[in-house]
Amino acid sequence: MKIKILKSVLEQNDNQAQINRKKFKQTGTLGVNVMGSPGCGKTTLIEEIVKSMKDKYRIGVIEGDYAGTVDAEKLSSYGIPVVQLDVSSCHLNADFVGSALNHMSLDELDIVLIENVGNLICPAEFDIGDLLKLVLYSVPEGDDKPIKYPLMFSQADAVVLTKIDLLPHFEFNKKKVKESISRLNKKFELFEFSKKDPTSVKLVANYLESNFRKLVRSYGDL
Amino acid sequence: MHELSVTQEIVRILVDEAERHGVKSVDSVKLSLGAFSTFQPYAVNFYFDILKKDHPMLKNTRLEIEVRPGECVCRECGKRFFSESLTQSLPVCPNCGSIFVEILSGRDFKILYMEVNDEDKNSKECS
Ligand SMILES: Nc1nc2c(ncn2[C@@H]2O[C@H](COP(=O)(O)OP(=O)(O)OP(=O)(O)O)[C@@H](O)[C@H]2O)c(=O)[nH]1
Ligand SMILES: [Mg+2]
Ligand SMILES: [Zn+2]
Repeated sequence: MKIKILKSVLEQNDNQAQINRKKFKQTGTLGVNVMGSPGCGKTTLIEEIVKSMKDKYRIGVIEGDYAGTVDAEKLSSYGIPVVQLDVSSCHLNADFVGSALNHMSLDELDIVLIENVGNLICPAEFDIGDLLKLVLYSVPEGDDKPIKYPLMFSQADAVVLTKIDLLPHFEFNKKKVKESISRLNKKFELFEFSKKDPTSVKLVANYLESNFRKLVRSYGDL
Repeated sequence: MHELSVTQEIVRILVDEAERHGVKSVDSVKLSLGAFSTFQPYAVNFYFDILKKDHPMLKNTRLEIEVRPGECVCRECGKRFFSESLTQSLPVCPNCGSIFVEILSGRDFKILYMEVNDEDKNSKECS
């Protein structure tokens, strides 16, 4: 006998992602999904964003590390709420993020930066309910990554080229990168960041700020 | 590698449905996988054989994963095309060879139905 099921395997994740997204919208909190390869500079950029924005905005961080708590400890030292998730998976999913949100008072936060697990494949498959996707892409990875991981780059709201100070040491054609992402994605913004240049985080911070304002404006319209 | 979490979800749904219908043993499960999904059937089967051991009703269950065609459109020349089989890599435009291709359908992964032995079904529903 056949028993019909007809359910998407990702249905539960998608449902929870919608719950998370609604929570962010209702509390006027910009939930930002920070993705990129292992070691591409996610924690470094988050740290610089926190330093540059924390006096003006209330920022929280969710750290989705595969193992260890070093990243979370570093960020807690700025006196902001940090929730560390023991993910033991190749990506964050909506349930993990949902449980982290239960440990944060979103009403008292403007921006939550979510560091996904370092990986260019799996996090693109699992919606976590964020309102903005930042894809970090570091110069030493080489300029062919958008072609190899199209799903990730096609979903990005913004791509941040990181470790840009290393440009002289690697074969990395920025123009080619921009062209190949443009073919996958019609609306992304492109930024450059180097931890050696403290002003480079400014443009990323401005971008987050304008998205936060947009969110609050639409929130006022509800 | 991300097959582990989808397989956990498959097991969760199957246990749930089996309990709801009072099924003691599931023979087989039919799933449909879009040709452009990045999930690999062999990996799903591999994890399923491990995870099913924890659930008596799934002890003898086989998964049948059927690949459904997916549709693409080429962003360079506009050609629409289908893939019948799991691509496992990027779709390439058959017309101009471009890899800048938009996937219109075929990324989904669904559980269609489970096949159970009538005698295994207890009388829960009939009472
Ligand atoms: N030269 C240079 N090095 C950088 C830059 N940003 C980060 N790094 C270095 O790159 C390494 C990895 O940086 P992280 O910020 O830990 O990278 P991550 O993406 O958080 O890494 P995982 O969490 O392990 O995936 C560290 O040694 C950083 O010091 C940069 O702009 N320039
Ligand atoms: Mg990190
Ligand atoms: Zn073409």
